Amino acid sequence: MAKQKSESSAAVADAVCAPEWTDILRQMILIRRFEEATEREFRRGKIGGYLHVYIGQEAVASGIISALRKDDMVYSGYRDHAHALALGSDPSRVMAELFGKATGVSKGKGGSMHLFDVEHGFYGGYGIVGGHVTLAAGSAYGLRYQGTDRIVLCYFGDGAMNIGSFHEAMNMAGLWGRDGMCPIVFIIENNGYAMGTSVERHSALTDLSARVRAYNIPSEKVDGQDVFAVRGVADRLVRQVRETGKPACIEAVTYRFSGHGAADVLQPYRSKDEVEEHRHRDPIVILRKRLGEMCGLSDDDVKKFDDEAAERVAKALQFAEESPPPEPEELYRDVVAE
Amino acid sequence: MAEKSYRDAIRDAMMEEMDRDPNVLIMGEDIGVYEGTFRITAGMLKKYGPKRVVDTPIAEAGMAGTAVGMAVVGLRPIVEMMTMNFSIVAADQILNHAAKIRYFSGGQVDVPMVIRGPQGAGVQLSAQHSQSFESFYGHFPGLYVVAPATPADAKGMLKTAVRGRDPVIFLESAALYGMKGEVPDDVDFTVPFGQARIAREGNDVTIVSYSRMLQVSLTAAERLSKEGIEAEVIDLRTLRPLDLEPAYTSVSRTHRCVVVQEQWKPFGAAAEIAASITEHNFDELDAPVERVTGEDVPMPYARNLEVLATPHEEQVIAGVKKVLYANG
Amino acid sequence: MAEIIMPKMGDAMTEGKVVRWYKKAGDAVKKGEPLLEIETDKVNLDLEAEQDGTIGQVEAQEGQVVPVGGRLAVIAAPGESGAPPTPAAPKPAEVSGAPQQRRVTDKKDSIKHTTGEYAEAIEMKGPRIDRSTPLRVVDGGKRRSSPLARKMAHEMGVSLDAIQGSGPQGRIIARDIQGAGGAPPTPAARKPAEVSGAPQLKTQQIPLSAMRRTIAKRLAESTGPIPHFYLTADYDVTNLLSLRQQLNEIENVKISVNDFVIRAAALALRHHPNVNASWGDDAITQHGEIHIGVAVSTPEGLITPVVRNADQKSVAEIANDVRTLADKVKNRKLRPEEYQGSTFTISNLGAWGIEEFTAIINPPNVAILAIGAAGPQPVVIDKQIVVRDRMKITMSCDHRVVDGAAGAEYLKTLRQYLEQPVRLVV
Repeated sequence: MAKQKSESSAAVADAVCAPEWTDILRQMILIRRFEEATEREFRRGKIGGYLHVYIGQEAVASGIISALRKDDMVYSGYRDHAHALALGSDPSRVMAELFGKATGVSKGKGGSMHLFDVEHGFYGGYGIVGGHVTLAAGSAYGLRYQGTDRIVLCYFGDGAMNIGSFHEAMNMAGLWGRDGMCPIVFIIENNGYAMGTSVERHSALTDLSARVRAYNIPSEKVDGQDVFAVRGVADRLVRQVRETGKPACIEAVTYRFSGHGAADVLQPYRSKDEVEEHRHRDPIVILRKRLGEMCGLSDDDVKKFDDEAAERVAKALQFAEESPPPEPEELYRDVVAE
Repeated sequence: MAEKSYRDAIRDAMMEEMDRDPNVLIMGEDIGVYEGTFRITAGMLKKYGPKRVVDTPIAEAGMAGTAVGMAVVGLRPIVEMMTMNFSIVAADQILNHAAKIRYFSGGQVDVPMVIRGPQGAGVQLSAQHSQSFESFYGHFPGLYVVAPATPADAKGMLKTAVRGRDPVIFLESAALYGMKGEVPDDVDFTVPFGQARIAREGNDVTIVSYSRMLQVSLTAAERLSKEGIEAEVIDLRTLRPLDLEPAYTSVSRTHRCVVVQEQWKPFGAAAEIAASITEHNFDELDAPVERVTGEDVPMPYARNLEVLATPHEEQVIAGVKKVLYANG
Repeated sequence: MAEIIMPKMGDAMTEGKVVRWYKKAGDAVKKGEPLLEIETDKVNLDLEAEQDGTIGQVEAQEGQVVPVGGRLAVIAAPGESGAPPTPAAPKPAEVSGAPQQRRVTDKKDSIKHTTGEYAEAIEMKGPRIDRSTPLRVVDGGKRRSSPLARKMAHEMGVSLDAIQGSGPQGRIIARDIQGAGGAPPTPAARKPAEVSGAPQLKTQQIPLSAMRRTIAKRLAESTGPIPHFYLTADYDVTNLLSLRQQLNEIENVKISVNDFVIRAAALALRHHPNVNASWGDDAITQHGEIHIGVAVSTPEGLITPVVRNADQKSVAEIANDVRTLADKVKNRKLRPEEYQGSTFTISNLGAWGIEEFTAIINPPNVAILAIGAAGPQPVVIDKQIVVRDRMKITMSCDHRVVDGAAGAEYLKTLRQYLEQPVRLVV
C-alpha cells in the first residue's frame, strides 16, 4: 500500500485528485483506527509494557513514506506503529506483535517499541531516545558504498535532539554528506513535547531546523498536519537526496492528541484546552476536506473507508487473539546467528 | 519508627538531606513538572524550586557529566536515572570520569554524587528496559555500588550515599517501590555500606542474595521450611565493597551455598560471590556453590517467555535441593 | 450495550478502587462526561464516558477494588434497551483448544511472578528448558569427591577407594563418609567424656617402613582394599559361664556371655596396641583409647554401636551399655556418635548356634573377632575325655597392619582373660 511507484518529477501535490491521494487517506484512517484499537487493548490488559501511539501525527508518516521507493529504508523511534503500517506491514502481524504472539513481526520478542519488517523496508523500532540516529546514518553510508541509489529515512522526535549520540550522528552525516556518501532524510517529528517537557523547556535553541543546519545539513520546516505540504517537501527532498547523496532534514510541526504513552493519563504539562485546540487541525479531516472540496470525495466514500479500516483492524485483533504465544525454545533463538 | 513504602523512604531521604544541606540537589528527566515517572519526586519542585530540582533534557551522558563537574566544586548532586538501563548511555562519564578523578588527581578532589534509579525486569518492558547493573558497575574501582532490599535500608543507605565523598551507584528495584516496612524516624539514621545482614537464620543451607531476589529467596525459604529444610538467608545490601564474612561463617556450619541474582549468569555478581566462598570455605563444602540466575538471553517481550527468563522461588528451591543432594 | 471496565492506566497497574460514582443506573450521559472516580496506586482520576448513552446496571460499588479488565457498569447506547448482557460471561479462549477461563499470564498480574503465573507458563508451554552443561567425565579413573568428604575421610583414616559415592557421577559426599563410620567435623564437636584415671595407652604414629609398605601393597593388590587373614582359636569357657551364672543370680543383673567377651577383648587390647589401630596413607595410628564396636543385627542390616572405653568399664556396666544401645537400634534412635569411632569390633553369632565363622573387618579397624556359640564339648584333658564348655573365636586381621604372629599373640592374651575370668573382675 502506498509507496510511490513512479519516479515522476511532477510534484504530487499538484495532482491533488490523483488516485494516490485516496490511498493515502485510507492509509491514514487505517493508522488512526489501528492506534485507537491498541489503546483500548492496552486498557484491557491485552498489550503489555509501553504503548506510544501516533494519533494526530498520521500525515508525517504517510506523507513522507509515500514518496519512497520500495527498496528504500526507514528507521524510527518507539512511536513506530504508523511507520510500519505506512510501509505496508500486515496490520495483523503488527497487532500480533503487540499481543506478544509468535506470529508477530518480531516473533513476539520485540513488542510495541521494536517493530521490524525488513521485507517492507522497516528497520525498527527503538527504545532509547535518539539512540538510533547513528544507525540510520551508517546505513545511508553503506547504501552509497554499495553503489546503489537507495535512501534512508530517519524519524525522531524533538526530544531526541538533545542526546549525545544524536549529535555524533548528525555530525558524521554532515561530514559524509560532503562526499555524497550519506543519502538520508532526517525527519523531526516536532510534536512540541519530549514526553512531559516542552520544546521551550528542553531546547536551548527552539528553532530545531537551525540546530540541524549547525551540522551542515539543510532543514525545512513544514506544517506536519497538512499532508499535501508534507508530501510536497518530501518529494523534492527524497529526489534530491537520491541524486546527490547528501543528507537533508524535514522538520514536521505536528501534535499528538494522546498522551506520551498509555500511562501518561494526567498530562500535567499541557492543558486540556491546548489539546482541544490542536484537535481542530486533525490531519485526516484536513485531507478529506480538501479531497471533498476539490475532487468530489463524498461522506459516503469516507464512511466506506472507515468501515474498511474498522474491519481490517477487527481482523487484526482476531488474528492476534487466536495466535499462540511463542514456544519456550524461542527464548534462546536469535541471540546470535545460528 | 513508622511504616513506609520503599518509594517514600527514598523520597524522605532525599528531602531530609536537601533540608539539611543546601548543597544537595536533584536532577533527572521529568522529575519536576511531571513529578517523576515513579512519582518519587512528587511535590519536590514546588518545595525546592527549579534550581535544586532540575528537569534535564533526555541526555544521560550530559546529566552524569555535569553532575561530576558540580560535585568537584562542592555540590552534592543526586542524579535520577529514569531506569538504570538508560545509564549505559552515561557509561563514559561515570566510569572514566566520576570513578577515576580522585585517583589520577592524587586525592585532590572529592566526587560526592549519587546516581540512583530502578533496575531489573518490570512487566513486558523487553530487552532494553529490563537489565541489572551490579556487576557492570561493581567491576570498577572508585565507585560504591549498593542495592537495598528493604525500605529502612533504602532510606539509611541513600543518606549514607548523599553524605559521602565518593560516587555511589544506588540500585533500586521498581518491583520493590510499593513494599512496606518499618523505617526509623531519626533524620540522622544512616546504614553503613559494606555490611551484609542475616535476613533469616537456619542450619541446613546458606542462601546469599540482594535486592528483589532477596525477597524471592525469603519466600523460597518459607516453603523449604515446610519440608524441614531451614535456610539461612543473607542480604548483601552492598555489592561494592562486598561483605561476605557472614556468608563464610554460615557456610562453615551448613557446608553448602546457593547464590541468587536476577540477571545473567556469565560474569554476574554471583560468580564473584561463589568464587570468594569457594576460596574461604573450600574444605567445608560438600557441593559446589550453586548460582540461581536469570536466563542468558535478552529479555523477551512475550509474558510467558519473560516469566521463564526470570528467577522464581521454584529455581531457588531446586538449587537448594541440588546442593543437599535431595533431588530424589 | 457496552461494558465500562476498570482500565489499565499504568504499566504495572493490576487493580483500581472505585472511590465514588458521579452517575447512577438510569442516568443519561454524554461522551466525555465523568462517570466515576477511581484510585490507583499512583493517582486518583475520573473515568469519562466513551460514548453517549444511559447507564445500566452498576456492578462495582464505592470502595470496591476491581482488577484491571473487571466490569464496573454497563452503558446502553441511545435507543438500546436497558437490559444488561449476561453477567460474568466467560471470555473467549485466547488460544484455540485452551481452557475457558482467563489465564493469569494474560492478566500480567505482578512483577513478582506469582507461583500461579509460573505454573501456568509451564502448563501452557512446558517447563524451562534445562540448558546447564553436564558434569564432565573425569579422566584417569579418579574418583569425584567433595572437599568436605575428603577431609572427613582423611581424619577417619578411611580410604575413598572403599566408599561408594552417592553424588552425581559417583561423587563421594559427606553422607557417604558418615555411612562408613566417619563424622562431619562441626565447629563445636563434642569430645567423648574423659574417664578418670589416666588410660594406659597413648595415641602414637608408627611411620611405615619400606618393608611394611611393600607388604601392604602386595597384599592389597591380591585381596582387595583390606587384605584379610584369619586365625581361629578354641577357648575353655567353663569358668566363664559359671561366673556368669553366679553374677546373674544377683538381682537386677543380667549379663550375657558377649558382655564378658567385650571386657576380655578390651583388656587384652591394652597389651596389644598394634591391634587397636587404623591404617593411614603415611602412618599407622595406634589409638589411645579402646572403643569396642558390637555388631547388632537389624532387619535393614548390620550396625555396630560402640561401647566406649570398654577397658575401663565393669562387665555390668558393659552389659548396661549394650542393652541401651540395642534398644536404641531397635527404635531407630541411635545417634551417629553412638555408632562411629570404634577402634575394634566384635561380632557374635552364638545365639544362632553358629560354631565358627569369619567376619569382615569394619574400617577403620584393623581386626574383628567372630564369636561362635558356647556350649559343652568333649575334650581331652590329662589324657581323659571330659565335657567342658567350649567357644570358638575367629579373628580377622588387616595384614597391612597386623601380622600372623601379632594376631596370634593377641588371641593368646585373650585366652588368659576368657579362661581365667577372675581377671575380668579386677
